Amino acid sequence: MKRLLYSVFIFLVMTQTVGADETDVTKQLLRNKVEAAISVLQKEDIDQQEKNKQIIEIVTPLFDFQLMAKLSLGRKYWPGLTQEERQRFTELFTRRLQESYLDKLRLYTDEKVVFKTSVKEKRKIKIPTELISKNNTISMLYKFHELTNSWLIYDIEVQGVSIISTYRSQFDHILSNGTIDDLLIKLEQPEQPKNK
Amino acid sequence: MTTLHSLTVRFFDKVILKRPILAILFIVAVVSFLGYKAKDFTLDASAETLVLQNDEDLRYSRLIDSRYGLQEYLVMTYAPEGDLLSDNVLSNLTRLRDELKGMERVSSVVSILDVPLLESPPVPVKELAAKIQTLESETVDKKLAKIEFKNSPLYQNLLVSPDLKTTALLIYLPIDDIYRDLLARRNDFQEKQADSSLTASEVAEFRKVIEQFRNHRDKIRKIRHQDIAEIRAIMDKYRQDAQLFLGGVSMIADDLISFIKNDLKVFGLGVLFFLILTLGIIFRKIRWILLPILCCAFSAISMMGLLGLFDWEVTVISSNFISLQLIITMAITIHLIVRYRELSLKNPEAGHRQLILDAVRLMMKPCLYAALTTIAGFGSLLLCDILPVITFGWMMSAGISVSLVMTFLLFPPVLMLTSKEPLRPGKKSRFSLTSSLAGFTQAHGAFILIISGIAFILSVIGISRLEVENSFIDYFKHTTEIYQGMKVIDQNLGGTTPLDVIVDFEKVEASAPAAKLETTTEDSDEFDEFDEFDEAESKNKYWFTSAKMARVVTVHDYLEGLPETGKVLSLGTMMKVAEKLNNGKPLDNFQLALLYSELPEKFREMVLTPYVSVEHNQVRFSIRVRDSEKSLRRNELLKKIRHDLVNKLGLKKEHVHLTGMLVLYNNMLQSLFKSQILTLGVVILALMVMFLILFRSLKVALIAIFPNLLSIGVVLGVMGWFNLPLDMMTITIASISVGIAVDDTIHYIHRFTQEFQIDRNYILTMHRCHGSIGHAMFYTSVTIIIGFSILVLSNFIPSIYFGLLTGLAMLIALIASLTLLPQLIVVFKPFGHEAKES
Repeated sequence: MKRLLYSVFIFLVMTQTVGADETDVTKQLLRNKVEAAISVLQKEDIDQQEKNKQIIEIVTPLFDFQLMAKLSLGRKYWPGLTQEERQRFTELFTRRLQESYLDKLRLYTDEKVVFKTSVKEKRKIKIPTELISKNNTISMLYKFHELTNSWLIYDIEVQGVSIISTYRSQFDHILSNGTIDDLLIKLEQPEQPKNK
Repeated sequence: MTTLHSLTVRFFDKVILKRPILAILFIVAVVSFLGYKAKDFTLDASAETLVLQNDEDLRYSRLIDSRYGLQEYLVMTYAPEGDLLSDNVLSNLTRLRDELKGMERVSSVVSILDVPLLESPPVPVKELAAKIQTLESETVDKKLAKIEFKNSPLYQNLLVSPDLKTTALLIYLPIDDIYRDLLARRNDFQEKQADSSLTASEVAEFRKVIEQFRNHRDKIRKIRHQDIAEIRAIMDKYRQDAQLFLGGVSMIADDLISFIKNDLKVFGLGVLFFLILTLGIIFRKIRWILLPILCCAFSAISMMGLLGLFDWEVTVISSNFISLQLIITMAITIHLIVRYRELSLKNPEAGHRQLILDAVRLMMKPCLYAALTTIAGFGSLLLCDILPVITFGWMMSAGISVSLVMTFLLFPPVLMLTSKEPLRPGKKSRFSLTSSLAGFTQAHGAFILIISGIAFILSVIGISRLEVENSFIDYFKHTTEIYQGMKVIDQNLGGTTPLDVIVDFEKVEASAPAAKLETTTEDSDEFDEFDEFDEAESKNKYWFTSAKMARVVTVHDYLEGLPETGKVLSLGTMMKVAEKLNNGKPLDNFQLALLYSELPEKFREMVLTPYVSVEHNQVRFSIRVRDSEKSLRRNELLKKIRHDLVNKLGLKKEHVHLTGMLVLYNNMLQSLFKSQILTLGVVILALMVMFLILFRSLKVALIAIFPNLLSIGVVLGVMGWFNLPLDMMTITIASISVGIAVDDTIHYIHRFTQEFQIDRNYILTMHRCHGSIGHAMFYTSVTIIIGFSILVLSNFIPSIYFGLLTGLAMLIALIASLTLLPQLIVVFKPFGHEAKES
């Protein structure tokens, strides 16, 4: 009985350490990427287009675009897509996501990024951060999952609003009135066509 | 019939005339009881009295009202002499707002001083939440504020007029949960009653709820009346620097109640005064003034008691019931007096009691028929769908019965108590108009027929021009605050009549595993692992997608682009404000969700709750239509909006709903034609049937109906030619006036039948009738015409038209009955061949 208890204790400690390690590593990775992106934003010697290019290069390896595309359609629509459609959708969705991310980054000026205590749940790590400016604080939650020994972002929440959920509701609205082709056409169009 | 008649005569002889004091005491007791019940007599002027009963749209409108939690408010317009944003004006406005805010029963006041300014000077989006500026902030730039107010999609036409000369203060009244609850319960029961699915216990409960609802409503109404008086007192302090008006549904309802009370008093007293005057001129005897007035007073008191007993509420439509009742009672009494005097003149030797009995006996039948035809006129109003008109029909039908019974029961015993009137034989009435009309008819018979024919044709053309387009504003005299306030709001602050467009979005099914599709185990596991998104789907914030908002903005722009619409408020308004802040780009899904979750509760209540119901997957566009726009064609506008939203904007037909006051009001207006045709048809049919029963001859019945058709035709024709629209009040004119005017025809023909037997000479009979019953007809018609002319003093325009047009109908009926009717009788000889020339 004692041995059993002991082994359970050891197991718990072990897993915690492993967890803590992975969390820290992921957190550090995120911190590095975010800081790198910020330093690009703060550069004054390059134009916006170049900045965008560099940032995309920095952050892209952090995201699991494949999974994000799949989640944004959900189990309601994704299984109904053919392989070609899935591929095409993932490509377009990735591009849309990157554009939207860059768009949001433009709002950045001189905020400080604070990394808070991360939480690990099963195969997921959630890293809360805060963007603090003089009179405002915006919370951001980076959600990672494990994929073949590396941790990749599958969703970001800003002030509790999930990017994947917003896309899912948008796509749901389009697909409930139309076909996947309608959705693909919409995604091919530039971001936010001006309303009449 | 004859037995009944003789029984009634015996009753008068053996009971009433034998024991006049007892009879009077009995009547006084009944009237006292009813007089006591008159305390329950109530008035109603709510918007509900302007709409159709059993209207599907009314049910929907109530549903929408409760779904979007709309709060009651008053609008105060403030047009200062100087610049609206000058320090002086703003400090006055601040004081005014603070005084209003300080009132006990005002929940909040929204004015240009309180609303957030986003561009004066512009604040970066990120800092907006922390640094919301208002006109009262120290850092505000008033020059920029001016531009912002002028161009703001939110504030322009809501808080400021486009020329920035007038501003509005929105005074919000606290939400009355008890009222809402009672109203909802009452409506539930009403719907059940309409389906006849009320159980016995529910019937009792329903009665209780109605009573509670009325009590609570009356209590609130008193409080609201005090509040409005207090607000007006506050306004008075600011009138030297600015022009102020008060508007809003509560204020209109409150003022209407005051109008009705005023009308009841003015018409009642005015008619009474004119009646006394007319009686004085005609009869020149105190007894012939006091006796009719007594009959009138008793009838009116009894009727008010019955109204209290039956819970019939007096509305603007029925606000003239007292005057109508007085007029009708008076007509019956005059017929009795004239007949009594005639008999007394003819048989100076007969006893007082015998003369009274003879007068009652001879007048019973024609008066009963005259009352029945008048009841048929008012009773036809029951076929309308408009509740206040139906109630009016009931009221007047009951009122005429009361008048008839009361006059016949009260007149004989009271007259019994007086001594016999010494009439000098040979005394002719000074009114010789009737006799000259007899001469005119004899001499110019063909001319009368031709003129009548022309009048008939002109009337038909006029009727074809009749319209039902009514502007609510035009219901009020230009001097009333309702008119002035509504006009300012209508023309400078975005319109008055509310119209709601409700747009549903497609129902989106909840995520479920797509079984029939090629779901691999791997896929399924992955989705299971990330089921957090399935849960998130149902959250409100993800409902706001850019596709939905794009549709909202398209519909918003379309509605705003219509020339008839004033202010349009919807999610689209907020989208436009947000778009401005977002460098002119519409918000994406993510920003929308963020906006939703970050919006403080206070603003959410203001900009979201009234315009979106996420739960029901629908949005609401709140529109105010410019009611005073002369080119406004309500029905066409509603049809056009429905058509365009479906065919031009591509919405599904079942997803578009129009509701609100404009729709309900329009339904009522559209029902007017149908109601008019239906009520008139029924009246004419009822008259024909009664004529047939009374005169027992189709020929006589046809001749009798003709002068009445002419008087209806002329009234409706005049309305058509003068562009007076049919409205709730004017559609009652034709039926009522024919109901009253037909009395002339009945009395005349009834007398003609009797007189004709004397010498079987049509022309001589005509002269005799003109000289006898003609006088009574002339007196009653003049009394009625003068009585109705009092309605000109109303603040409610339809009442004025009602008074004038009913007067016109009576005049035409009188002239037709004394010219056309005898001419037709002379030409068609319906009573058989004449005796040889006498």
